[in-house]
Amino acid sequence: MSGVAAVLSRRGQHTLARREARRFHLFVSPWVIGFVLFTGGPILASIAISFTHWNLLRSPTWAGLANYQKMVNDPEFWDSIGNTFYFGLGAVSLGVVFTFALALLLNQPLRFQGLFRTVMYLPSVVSGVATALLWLNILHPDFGLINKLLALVGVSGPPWLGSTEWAMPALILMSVWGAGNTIVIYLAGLQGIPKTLYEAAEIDGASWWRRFWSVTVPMMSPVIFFNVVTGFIASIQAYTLILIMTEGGPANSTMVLGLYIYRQAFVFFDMGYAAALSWAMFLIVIVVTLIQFGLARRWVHYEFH
Amino acid sequence: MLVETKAAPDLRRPGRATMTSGQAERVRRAQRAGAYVLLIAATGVFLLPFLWMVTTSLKSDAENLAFPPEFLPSSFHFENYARGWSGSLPFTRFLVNTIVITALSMAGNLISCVLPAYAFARMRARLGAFLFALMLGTMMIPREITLVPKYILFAKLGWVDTYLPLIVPEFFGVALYIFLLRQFFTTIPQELIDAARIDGASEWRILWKIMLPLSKPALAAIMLFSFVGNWNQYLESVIYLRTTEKFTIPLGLGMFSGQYATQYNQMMAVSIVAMMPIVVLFFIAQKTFIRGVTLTGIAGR
Amino acid sequence: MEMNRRQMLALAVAAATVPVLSACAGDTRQQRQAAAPTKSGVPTLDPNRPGNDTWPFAEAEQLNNSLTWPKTDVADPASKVTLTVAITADVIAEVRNAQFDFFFHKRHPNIEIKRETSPFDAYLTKYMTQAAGGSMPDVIYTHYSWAQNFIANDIFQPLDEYIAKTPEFDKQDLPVNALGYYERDGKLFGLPTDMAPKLLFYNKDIFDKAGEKYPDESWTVEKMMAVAKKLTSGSGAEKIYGFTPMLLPEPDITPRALMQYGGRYLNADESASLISQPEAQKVMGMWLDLLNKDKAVPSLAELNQVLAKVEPFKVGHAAMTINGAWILTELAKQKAFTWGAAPTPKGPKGRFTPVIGSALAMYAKSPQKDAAWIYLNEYLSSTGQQFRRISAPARQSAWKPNAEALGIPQDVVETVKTAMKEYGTGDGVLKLPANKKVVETAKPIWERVMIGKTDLASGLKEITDKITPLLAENKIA
Repeated sequence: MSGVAAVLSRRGQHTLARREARRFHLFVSPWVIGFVLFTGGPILASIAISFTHWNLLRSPTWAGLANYQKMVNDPEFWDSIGNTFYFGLGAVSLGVVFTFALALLLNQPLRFQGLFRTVMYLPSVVSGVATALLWLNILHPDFGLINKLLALVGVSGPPWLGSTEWAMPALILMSVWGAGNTIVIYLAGLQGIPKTLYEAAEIDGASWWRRFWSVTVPMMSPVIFFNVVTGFIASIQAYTLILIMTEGGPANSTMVLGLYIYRQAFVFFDMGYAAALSWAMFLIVIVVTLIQFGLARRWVHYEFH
Repeated sequence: MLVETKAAPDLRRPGRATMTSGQAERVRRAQRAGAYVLLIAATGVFLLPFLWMVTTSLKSDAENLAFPPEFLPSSFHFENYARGWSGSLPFTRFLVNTIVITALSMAGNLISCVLPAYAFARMRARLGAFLFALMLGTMMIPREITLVPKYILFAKLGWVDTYLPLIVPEFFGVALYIFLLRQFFTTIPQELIDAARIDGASEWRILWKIMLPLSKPALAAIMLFSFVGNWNQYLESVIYLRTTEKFTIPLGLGMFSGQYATQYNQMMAVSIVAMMPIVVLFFIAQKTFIRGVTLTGIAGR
Repeated sequence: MEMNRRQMLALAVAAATVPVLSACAGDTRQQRQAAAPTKSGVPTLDPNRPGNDTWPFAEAEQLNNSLTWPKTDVADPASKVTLTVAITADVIAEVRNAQFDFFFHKRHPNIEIKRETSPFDAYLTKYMTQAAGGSMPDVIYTHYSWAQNFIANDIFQPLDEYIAKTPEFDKQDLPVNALGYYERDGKLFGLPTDMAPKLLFYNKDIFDKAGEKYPDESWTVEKMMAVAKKLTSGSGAEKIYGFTPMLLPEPDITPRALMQYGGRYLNADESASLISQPEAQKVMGMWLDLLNKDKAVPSLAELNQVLAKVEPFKVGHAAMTINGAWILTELAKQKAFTWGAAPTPKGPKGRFTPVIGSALAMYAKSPQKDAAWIYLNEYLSSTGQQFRRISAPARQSAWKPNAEALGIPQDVVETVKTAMKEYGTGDGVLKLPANKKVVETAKPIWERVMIGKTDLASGLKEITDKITPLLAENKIA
């Protein structure tokens, strides 16, 4: 608790407000201390690094704006932004709808509920290698499960990961399938809806669909909002899945910004450029998030303002 | 930190007093059957990777490479489990290490996320919005780029080849979990808090007696994420842990892949054993996701 | 069903106490294990007698005693030192390395080895990060493609002085055509541990079935491609490729395919691109035809299986491949098909093959360089490589005994030895600091050519245009 609190209390006008502010600072202090000790320094360092050339083996040398200039003129960077939005929009929009539906289903008081829930969560904890191997086989153009099923209905399936058009949809499909954490958050959120609201709606003779829109969605809106915001952040940063499955190929069609940064940092060891790209990514994420916070006023229902 | 209260949870199925007609009952039955069909179909899709792991773990070394891959092994090699677990690396030791790191980190996460989340959700302060934005901002910077500066920091502290870089930062809040909890705290009716304040309850008491009990599902979710995240942590473990005796399970699993060949069968065998604690924990945690547990007695809002 | 707070508290307490309890239990278990190292059925590990089913301690002990370890004039440290050794290994090699270190410590009681093992995929990230922190282990593993970057940045210590102090160090036993990866300004900064040429491997069963004669030293590249076309058959899961994998602009493409026609990817000091020159373009065009006209090599879509490290040749679905001799161990173990190895085919300008591998180096700022040399000298000696039973030893004299122990046929060993001595080379293999950038930049462009989105000539020109600015980094180094 801190100098900040002291300064604030000196300026404070109202005792109650001052007391609340002091308590606020006490309560947030674990995070603030952690930020000062462990997070803030490396973040500031990464700003500094973005103005240098640094290969990790020698001391960084001053680069001025060179890395940012390089970025603006780098066609692969711009391509990767396009790919990032393709992946992000696909994964988040599909993911939010699909996982919400699944969570509603898993929230029904059915037999073996726990078992069903556990199974749906499995993909997000099984080994990444197993997942990759499995999908490589499911998506194989000749003997993969998906194309075999398509062949049954007379459709000749695309070569999926080997094709510049279909690799990204395949990755989006995979990411939605592994979204167990989102389901968990929805499930947790669904428990917070007072059942009295449903009872009241039912007495009013509201249909299932109406109850869903007038009770479930508004009451869940802070949780949906959380999932959309963090889902976007995560999918804009995502790279591990793509690294394992396609390494950004074929022909750079799945090269997203996260993977591009990873490559600059830990394949090329061009830390200055990687840092500059990271701050570009930060800017993108923050704009997207601010837009979402702006839109949230229209649809997210909070108990406390 | 979790105190017993008398807020007796209601375990009854939601009652539907007004519904009497047989038609409604039939509709409900059809809905239920539909739900089962959907769930069973989804189960097939979601269970697949796990079954894949199981069958791979039972294959012979030669069959690992069959092309196209066979789903079922031609003979069952249960010895892969013993060979994988202690045939070349001391996985029992790794398990102990992983438990130590995970348990401490999880405890740290829980303690350090609840308080800031409550503050961000329910307290007014001049710096509140700024700090909240700053915290969200830290989530938006890709982890790869702070990895090296962080390493330099911890190396200067002499923490390399110890568990400290993996555990200590976990005691100072995780932005994602704070944000999640904060969202849940905002859904709790303000009337409850106002009533408690009028009764003269302190903020601590409100947190303990109202917020936490009502946010049990969210706490369970965070516990689960924290457990899984720390249990499977790879990148930072690779960088900080040097001596083989200090390895965690994910590091040991990484060693099944060589530069030219990977022993998938043993790797999957050990992976299955290693994910069991997560499955068990999930099964326990999901039990808190039961409707009607929490917000009883605030009808008529 | 629901968990009340008391239960949750109990769970939290239990979770917090487990580590404490198990940490206590950990020590006692180790002691017990030392007393009773083998339990029936389940294998156990004993730090005082390292070994397992693959590498029984008794075998290691016997082998260690039967070998003569090399000498050096560099003296053992007078007092105890700890030597940190950073290497990469998988579960199998790790146990053997533990055994090596165990016996090394017995021979040199004053040198305590602290071995840091990492999987190959994580190794470079780990140690580049550590280098940023200003320190490195005393002994450092390096892939051939990383070494020049480390050398240019003064991370590695020149070893010539130490070699001079070691009279019985037989430099001629090393692949002298391929030491260039670790040389700079006439000094040697690393000693290879494994080093192997690429050979033409073939599936005898597929050849027999088609009544084709096996490849031999008379084969030309055209002949190989013609036979590949002939041996291609089937589709879907039954598909047999004549050859795998498709030629890509990878670091070793010059001696692997271009030199045979007088072409090169980059010039000798890696400062200019030559891939769009007619000689190189001719070769790239030949391979493109083999892919798109003859369908004799896996396409981009089919190649995805490689990600799972399931190479069509290794699973009996390709008649021929050109691959490093390090796959011999794996081939020798499999029973699915019979195979052979032949010299790589020659072209109008002769026969070439890349020789690549990895090395160990000494940290330039290591406080115990003498101890580090003693370790390097023994670990990398013919004796050391025989003890470790590695499949592609850099010491030529270790090939024969290791091949025998690993069940690799002797005629194949002769093919390898001839390749190493006569036509194998490190020349033309990209090794300067920009090599990763060059490869990754060229790859997507070549992929567009492979799927027909760009034609050959403009694709190769685009590669030249894109990689030329990157090559400046090689000049600074």
